[in-house]
Order: sequence, then structure tokens, then C-alpha cells
Amino acid sequence: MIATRSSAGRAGLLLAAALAVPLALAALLLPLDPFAMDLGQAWAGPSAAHPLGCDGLGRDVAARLIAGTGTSAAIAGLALTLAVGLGVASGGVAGWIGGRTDAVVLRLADLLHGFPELSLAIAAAALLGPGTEAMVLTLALAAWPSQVRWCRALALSNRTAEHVRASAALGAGPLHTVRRHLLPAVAGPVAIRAALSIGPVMVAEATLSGLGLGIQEPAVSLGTLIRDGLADLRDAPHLIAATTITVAAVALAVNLLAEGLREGLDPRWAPFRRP
Amino acid sequence: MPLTAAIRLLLTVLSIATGVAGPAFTAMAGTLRASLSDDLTTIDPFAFPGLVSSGVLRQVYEGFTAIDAAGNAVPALATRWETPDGGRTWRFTLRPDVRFHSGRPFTAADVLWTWEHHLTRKPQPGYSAFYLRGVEGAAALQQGTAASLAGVEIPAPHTLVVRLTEPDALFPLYPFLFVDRGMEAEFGPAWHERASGGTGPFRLASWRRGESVRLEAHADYWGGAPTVDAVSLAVLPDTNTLLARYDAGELDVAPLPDNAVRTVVRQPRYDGQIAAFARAQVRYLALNQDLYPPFRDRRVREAVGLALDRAATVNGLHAGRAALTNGFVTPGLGGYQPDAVPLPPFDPDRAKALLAEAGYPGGRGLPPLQIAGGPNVREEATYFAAQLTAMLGIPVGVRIQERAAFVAAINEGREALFINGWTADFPDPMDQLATQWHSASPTNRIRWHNSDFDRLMERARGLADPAVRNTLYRDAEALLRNQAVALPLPAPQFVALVRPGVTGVVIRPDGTTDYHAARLP
Repeated sequence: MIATRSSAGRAGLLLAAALAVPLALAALLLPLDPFAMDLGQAWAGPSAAHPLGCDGLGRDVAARLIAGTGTSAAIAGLALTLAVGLGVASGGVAGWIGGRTDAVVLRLADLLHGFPELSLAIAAAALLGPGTEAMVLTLALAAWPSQVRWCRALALSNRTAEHVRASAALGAGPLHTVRRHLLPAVAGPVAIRAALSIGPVMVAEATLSGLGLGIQEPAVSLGTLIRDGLADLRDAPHLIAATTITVAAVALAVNLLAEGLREGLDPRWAPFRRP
Repeated sequence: MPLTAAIRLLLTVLSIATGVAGPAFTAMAGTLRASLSDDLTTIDPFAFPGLVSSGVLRQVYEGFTAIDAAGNAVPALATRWETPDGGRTWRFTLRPDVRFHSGRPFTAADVLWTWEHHLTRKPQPGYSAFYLRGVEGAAALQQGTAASLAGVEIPAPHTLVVRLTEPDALFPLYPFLFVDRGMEAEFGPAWHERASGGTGPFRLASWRRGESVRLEAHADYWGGAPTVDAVSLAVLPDTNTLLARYDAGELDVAPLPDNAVRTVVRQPRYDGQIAAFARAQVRYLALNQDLYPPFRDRRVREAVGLALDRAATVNGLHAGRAALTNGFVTPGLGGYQPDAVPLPPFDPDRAKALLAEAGYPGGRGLPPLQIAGGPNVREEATYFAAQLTAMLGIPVGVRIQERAAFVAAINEGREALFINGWTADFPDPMDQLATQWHSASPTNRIRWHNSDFDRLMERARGLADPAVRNTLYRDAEALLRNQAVALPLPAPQFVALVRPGVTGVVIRPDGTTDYHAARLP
């Protein structure tokens, strides 16, 4: 596995396993339902039946953490897939064609880049309204400007590469060049950048849902868990503690894995790799 | 040190270290320190105030009557009100010994000036113009075809005669706030930003937007000067900050937001410091029959009611600080009658049977459904959505919106199922019934129309005897129940933390925290 060739990647994998294994065991061994309510168990502390306690509606926090992590990861994955797809398409085309198309795409990206990503996401969430689908679109929109600039830069640098010019000189058409030369050249860097973005995107989802702009009940995500935990911060701190630790750990694990991927793919790191 | 105690200490230290605790909250001799759940929207007594502003302005300005702790109308600036003709003409005898904060005496001319100003205010009429629409000549004054309000006579400085176009038994109860007519001449049109123009127990000394409000005692108050010299009100919308301030000894009184009550009540450290008061607020789960066609079938509406365990939420979500009612008039309002008809039981099996009878066995054929509400009902909506999901057999979602967005959505009739509430502006069940369910009311958010109900309300408005009016109100409530128009939800109390030794603080059913009789240790 490329990502585990470096110490950062191995640390990330270890951390991911440390997170996933207990959660998976809890999901397998305990009959926990993230949506089952028992008002008599409201704010119950950790116990054998409820390893991380219960929230204000008597719902099991561990079960909700497992479900919430899954939801947040799925949202982040979908949002980034969308952002990367649009980024490659628009940035790649802009960088490859150049001229007026490039200027228009770049100005639009610059305009959106002028806003902090979170502010952009808040504005988009307010416009699109709450909900899971809206959240995916919001996060994709917020992530698009950086993706488009990155893809455009890659396309620009590859457009004038010797092997590309040689291919054109031999009579290859634009589609062939893009398929055979451009896409393979940008795939690695784009994947690394996308992987590095997963953590921040999950944090953005948590922030937006924490502000009430994200997904709605009964769906559960890390963001809704933070929002609910904040309300009881003083007297039931265990509610938010488990969630914030999870958010931080997931973001760290993903970033370490992405760093490992970058080191694994970047030829400049080759001399430092173990044989 | 236990984790919770350590976090509490950290929060307290942080709130002090961030310097938010400004000079306004420094303890002073005779200054009572309390909080507001939100900033004021206005200090103009002619503008629509909203609940928080209204609670402050009613300490500064007064009307003919006030609402007492039991929800009954009691004399304020009028000592007597009589009608010789069943509510078409009203003769008010005003309290003779009243002085405004300016020192000027309060007379009937101030009442007339206040009313005329409401009706002629530009660009929008004052909010009391709604209550004055029945006064003879009000329309002409508003349209500019008359120079004064023809339906009002002042036979003596402290006597006022009002003629209405139709009988209105409730006219003396309306929440007027009378203003010193000399203020505008002395300070200009924006006088309310520079001076306090009421007769209430406190004068408005300052308003620091988003931070604090300061009220100072009115030494010449007709009911006796307040015991405290001043009341400092900190704007603290965040519950964690509110409790940190209270725990740090920076607040003497902390009215609690609804969603904080049960977290506070269960903390032993607050034992003996929790005060609860009746609230004139009706709450209900509304079913919009126009927007969600299955609700047109009474059996479906009834099934929704049977599927919800409302009794469990009294302790489970309100920590016992709420009254379970099966009506649409609540405790905290004179005229509240404990229900003769018991609350329907929580009976999901019967609900399923009714649903099947209506043609939706197991929920098949029902369109998607969501419970909408403001942020303060998130837990309640989630709880009820889970119960409806189990009964209807389709996933029932929750749509929580920022308060203003939610109100806009229900005003525009965009929500099929939503939790809403209404706090009475004046102490009569009419304000909880007609405002929500009369077909002509702008706040009838589900656009329900029933001519029998409308007739009951219109007849009640003309009956001066409260006991007779209450009979009609009971009939109206029975009609609402029988039609399953909406489901009454537990009516919560106002709950506040009050520091030991502080006495006399009362939250009136309309939400006004009354500091007139407050005493510091």
C-alpha cells in the first residue's frame, strides 16, 4: 500500500484502526440503536449497557457516534467526489485550452476564493436550506475553488511538457492527449489533495450542522452530535467529549494517510523510502 | 476535582477573562442583576415589541389594566371601567395620583395622545392601532379625513369615555402602553432614545445594544417606589454563558430558556433556587389540512394524536415544569378551566386501526411528512417524529429552522405539521382562541375555517360578564378538540434561577419579569 510506505502513513493507518476497531466491535457486540429513545435514561453516564452514556433523549451516544461518523464520512466523500469531478473538468479544460475560457473560469474561482471556505459554505447552506443533499452540494461548492485552481495549474504545467508536445507533433488529437497524457499526470496529485481535504470537509460539516445549517433529525452526523453536546456542555460534558475527540482523530488519521500517499507518490521522496 | 466541576470552573474563568462582564454587571448596592434571553428589538413603545422587548417595556409603561400572577386583569392606570350598553361605550376612571417619569401628571389627555399617535404614526401605524380599530373615528383619523379621534371624550382630566362601533367586552384588557404626551415636544420624534416616557415602576435608563439594559427605580411610582435602586439586565442568549454567570455570582435572577429547564432542574446545586410561574402560552402540534390532504380525514388527525405520548413529555422533556392540558386555553390565564374532557390516552394500536380505516393501512399511501419548528422545540419534535414514524410506518422527519425563517414559513402556509405556540397579550382566553383559530385571524396559521367557531368568538367578544364568556370559550375548545384541528401540547411554566435571599421577583403569565417588589439580601 503506497500510503504506508512512510511513517506518517503508517501512523495514520494505526490511528484509523484504533478508531475503527472499537467502534466496529461496539456495533457488532452491543444491540445499540442510534435512534431508540428512552427518556428515563436521559443524560445517563457511561455504563455497561451504554459505553458512552446517553443523550438528552436517552439515545445511546456510542451508537450515534458510529452512525454519525458514517454519515459524516459519506457526506465528505460525496462532496469531495463532486468537487474534484467539477474541479478536474473545469480547471483541466481551462488550463488546457487557455485563452478566454481560462480567464472566465479563473476569475470565477478567484471570486469564490476571496471568501473564507467556511463563510462560503455558510452562505451556500443558508441558500440551499438544511438537509443531507443540500449539505453535500454546499461542501462541494465550498471546496470547488481550490480544486479548480489546482487542476488548472496541473493542466498548464502538463500542456507544455515535452512528451505532450511530442504526442501532438506525431498527430495525436486533443482527446487522445487528454486521455493518455493529461489525466494520468494529474490523477495522483488530485487524489492526494482530495485526501488531504477529507478532514477539513468533515470538520466543515460538523461546523455547519453544529450551527443548525446542516443535516436534520432523525439523521445523525458528527455535526449534529456536536450541536446537541454543546447545549449540555456544562452538565453532561461526556456527550461532546467523545464526538470532538472522534472528529479530531478522524481528521488527523485522514491527514496522516494523505501525507503518506503524497510521500509515496512523490518521486522527490524516493531516496528517503525504505527499499 | 470531578470533570464537570473542572469544566464549570474553566467556563467561569473564561467568561470572566474574556471581559464580557463589563461595568454594567458589577454589583452595586441596590442594583438587582438579571438577564434577558435576547436583545431588545425596540425601546419605542409604539413599535411592535416582541416578547423580550415587551417584558422590559411593561416595566416602564402601563395601560388601563395589568395581568396578575394568576392571569387575571387587575387595575393599573384605570381604577374603574364601566359599560352601560354591553361593551359599546366604555367609561374609564383613571388613577388620580400618577406621575410620569418626567414628573408630569398622567391624565386622560395622555391616553388620547397615545392612541392618536398609534393611529397616525408613519410609515407604519403603532402596534396598538389593531386594538383601536373599533373606536369610532379611528378609520377617519388614519385616512387623514379627521384631525382627532372622534370616539373619545374627556369629560374630566381623569375620566375618559370611549365609543366603539361594535360591542367589545375586552377593550379594557388590551395591552396599551400610555405615553407622556410632553416627550415629543421636549425631545423630538426620537424621544424614546433619549428619555423615559412612562409611568411604570422603573424608568429606562440605558440600552447598550446586544449587551445590557438598565432600569432605574421610579421614586414617585403610584404603587410605591421599588425596593431596589435599579435593575441591570444582561443580554445572555447562550445558556452555558448564562449559567456560568449565575454560578460566578454575577446574576441575582436568571430566567431560563425552555430547553435549559430540565438540565438545570436536575442539578442538586440549584436546589432551593428554582422559581416557577404559570405561563399564558398555548402550544400545539398543528395539522394543515390544505397542505397535507390525508389530514382532511378526521381519523388521520385523531390517529396522530393517539400516537403521541404527550404525558411522557411532561416529566421527560419539561422536568415536570409543564401542565398537561387537553384544551387550547392554558393555566396562567384567567378563565382557564381544567379539562372536563380527559386527555385521550397514548394508544398507538388504536391509532394504527384508525389509519387503516381511513385507507392508509400501515401508512401505505401517505406522502412524506416532517415536523417543523423553531430551535427551541428540536428535542420535542424529534421525540414526536420517532413516535409518528413507528405509528405511520413512514419515516417522519424533523425540520428545525431559525425562528424567523420558521415563522415566515408558517405564515406563508408552507408547513404541513408544525409545533407552534402563542403567549397571550391580554388576560382573556379570546387571545389564545381567536388569534389562532378564527378564520379571519392573520395568525391562524393552518387557515382552518369553521363558521360555528367564528360565531362563538364573535358572540363572546360582546359579552361583558367573564363567566358567560367562559361558557362560550368552553364550547369553542370542545369544538377544536372534537375536530382534532391541532393537538394541545404541555404548557410549560416560566422557570428562573433566583439567588438565595432575593425575594419578590415574579414572572407574570405574559412573560414580564416584574421587579417592582424585588428585594436583595
